[in-house]
Amino acid sequence: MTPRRLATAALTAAATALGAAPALAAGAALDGAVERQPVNVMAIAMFLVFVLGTLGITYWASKRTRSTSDFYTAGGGITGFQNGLAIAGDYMSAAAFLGLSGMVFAKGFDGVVYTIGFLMGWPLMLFLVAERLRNLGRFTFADVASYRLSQTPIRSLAATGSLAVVCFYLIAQMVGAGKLIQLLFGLEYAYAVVLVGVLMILYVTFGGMLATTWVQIIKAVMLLGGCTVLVVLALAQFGFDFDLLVTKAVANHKAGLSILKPSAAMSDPISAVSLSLALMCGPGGLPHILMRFFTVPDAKEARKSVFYATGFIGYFFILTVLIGLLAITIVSTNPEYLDAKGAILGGGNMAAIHLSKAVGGNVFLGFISAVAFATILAVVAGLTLAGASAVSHDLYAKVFKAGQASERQEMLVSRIATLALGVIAIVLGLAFENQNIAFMVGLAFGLAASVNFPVLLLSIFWKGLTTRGALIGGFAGLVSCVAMVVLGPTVWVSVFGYAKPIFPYEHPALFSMTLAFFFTWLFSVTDKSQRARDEEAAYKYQYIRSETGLGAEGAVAH
Amino acid sequence: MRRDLYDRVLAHPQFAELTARRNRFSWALTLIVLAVYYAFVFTVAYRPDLLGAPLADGMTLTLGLVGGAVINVFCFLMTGIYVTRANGEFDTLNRAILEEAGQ
Repeated sequence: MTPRRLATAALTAAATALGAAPALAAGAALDGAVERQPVNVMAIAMFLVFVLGTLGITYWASKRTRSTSDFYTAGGGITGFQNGLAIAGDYMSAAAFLGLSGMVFAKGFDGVVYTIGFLMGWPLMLFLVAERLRNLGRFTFADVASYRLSQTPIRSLAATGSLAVVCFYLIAQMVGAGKLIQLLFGLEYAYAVVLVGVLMILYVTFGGMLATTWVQIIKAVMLLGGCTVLVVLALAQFGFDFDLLVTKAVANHKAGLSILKPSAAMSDPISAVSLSLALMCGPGGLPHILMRFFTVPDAKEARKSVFYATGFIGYFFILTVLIGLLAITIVSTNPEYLDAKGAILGGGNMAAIHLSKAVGGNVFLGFISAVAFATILAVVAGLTLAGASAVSHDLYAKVFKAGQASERQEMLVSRIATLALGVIAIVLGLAFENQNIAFMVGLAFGLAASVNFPVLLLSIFWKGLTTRGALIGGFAGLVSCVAMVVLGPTVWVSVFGYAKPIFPYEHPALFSMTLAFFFTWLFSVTDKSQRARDEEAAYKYQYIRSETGLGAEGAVAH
Repeated sequence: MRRDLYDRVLAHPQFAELTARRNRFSWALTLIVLAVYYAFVFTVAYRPDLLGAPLADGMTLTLGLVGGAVINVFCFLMTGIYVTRANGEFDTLNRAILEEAGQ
C-alpha cells in the first residue's frame, strides 16, 4: 500500500492513523458477514499462550500446595505488592473493563459515577478493616466474625452469605464469558462456558491459592498494560489533547452535551445514596477479596496490599473512562463497527474491543480479546476458591466436624467442593444463556454489603455484638436484599415483565443494610443470656489481638 | 492463648496511647474520605449541572471529569498517608509494647 493510498484509506476508515492497513484488510473480509464473527485465529492463539502459561504455573503451584494453609492462603507468603496486584486483578473483572467503558461510551458521565463509587471502598477498607482482618483471621472472613461468637451459627451465616455472593457472581461471569467468546473468538457459547469451568477447576483444585494468585497477577499486568497501550494509541489521534477528546466526543454522541452530566436516573438522591453504599461497602463483604488478606504474612503487608491495589484500581478506572470517551469518536463514527441501524456491533460491552481493532489492528484486537477472556477466567478461579473455602473450612471442618477434621480430610473436601462449584457454575452458565442476568452482579454486591459486611464490621468494632444479634441481623440483610431485588425494577420488570416494580429502587443497599445493622443491634442489646455476657467479656482479648497482631497466624516457611 | 500476656499488653501504658492515636488517625481519614465522596454523591443528586460545567471558559473539558480523576488520585494519596504512618510510627510503637509485655 502506498503512503498516499494509505492516507486515503485512513480517512475513509475515520482516522485510524496506527495500524490502518490490517484494520482495513479485516474490514474488507468482514463485509457482508457482520452478524457472525469469523473464527479469530490471532485471539485464540494469544489466549492459548495464556492458558498454557497459567497451566504451567498451576503445575508448579501444585508441588507447593500440601497443607490447608497452602491451599487457602498460599502459605501466607505473598508480598504486599503481589497481593495488591492480585486484589486489583480480582476487582478488575470483565464487567468492570467492558461494562464500565461501555457505560461511558453509551451514557457518558454515569460511568464515571460508578468508577468513583467502586474505588471509594478501598481507602475505607484500609483505614478500618484490612489490618484487623489480617490479625484476627486465618483462612476465611468467618474466622474473624466467629472469633468470640458461637462457631456453628456464625460460620453457617458467613458461609451462606459467601456462597450466595459467589454463586450470583459466578453465573454472571460464566454467561458473560460465553457471550464474549461468541463475539471475540467466533466459537460456540457452550464451548466457552465448559472451557472456563474446566480451566478454573484445574487452577483451583491443583494449584490452590498460589496458582489462583499468580493467574490473577499475570492477568492484572496484561490488563493494565493492554489498556495503557490502547489508551495511548487512541489518544495519539487527538494529539493527547483531553479538551479536544471531550469536544469531539460531545460532537459525535447523539446525546451531545448531556453526556457530560449525570443522567436523571443517577440524580434521584435515594438511589444515589443506595448505590453509593453498595459500591463502597461491597468490597468489604466480597469473600474472594477478603480472603486475599490472609495470603500476606502480617498487618504491615496487608496495609501495603491495599495501597498498591488502590493505585492500580484507580489507574485502571481512569483508563476505563478514557476508553469509553475515545470510543465515542473513534468507534461510533466508523461504519465498520455499526449495524444497519447505527448501533454498535455486538452490543454496548464491545466499545473497548472495537476500539482496540480501530487503533491497533487485528493483532491488538486479538490481544485485548485474549485479555478480556483471561480476566473472566482469573476472576472465576478466585470466586470458586472462596466458595470452596466456605464449604470446606467453615461448613465442613468447623461446623460439621466441630473443628476436629484432619488436614487431609479438609483438603479432600475443599477439592470436592471446587469440583462441585465448577460443575454448578457450568450448568447454571448454560441454563442462563438466554436469561437477563444484568441484576446478578448488583445482587452480589448488595448481598456482600448487607450480609457479610455488617457482620464483619460489627464483630471487629462492637463489643456488644452477640451471636443472636449477628445471626438475626445477617439473615435480615440476606432476606431483605434478595426480596427487594426480586420485587424491584431489575427482576420484577426486566425479567418477569410486569409493568411496575413493587419495590421502586434498583439498588436496595440503603434499606437492606439499615435493616441488617438495626436487627443486629436490637437482638444484641436485648440478649441477656450467659453466652452474650461471655462474648462481651471475650472482646477484650480479641481487641488486643486485632490491634497488635499478638497471636496472629504468621507465614508458613517453605 | 496466654491470658497473662494479653493482660500485660492491656496494662501497658503505651497500649492505650497506641490504639487511641491510631484509631484517631484512621477515623479522621475515614471521615475525610467519606466527606469527599458524599460531597460528590450529593453533587450528582442535586447539582448535576455543576459537574457538566466547563473547567474554564472556552473549554469543553468539564469540572466533573477532572474532579473525578482528582478524587481518584486523592484516594490513592490517602492510602499512602495512612500506610506510611501506620507501617512506621505505629508499628514501631506496637513492636515495643509487645516486646516489653513479653518479658
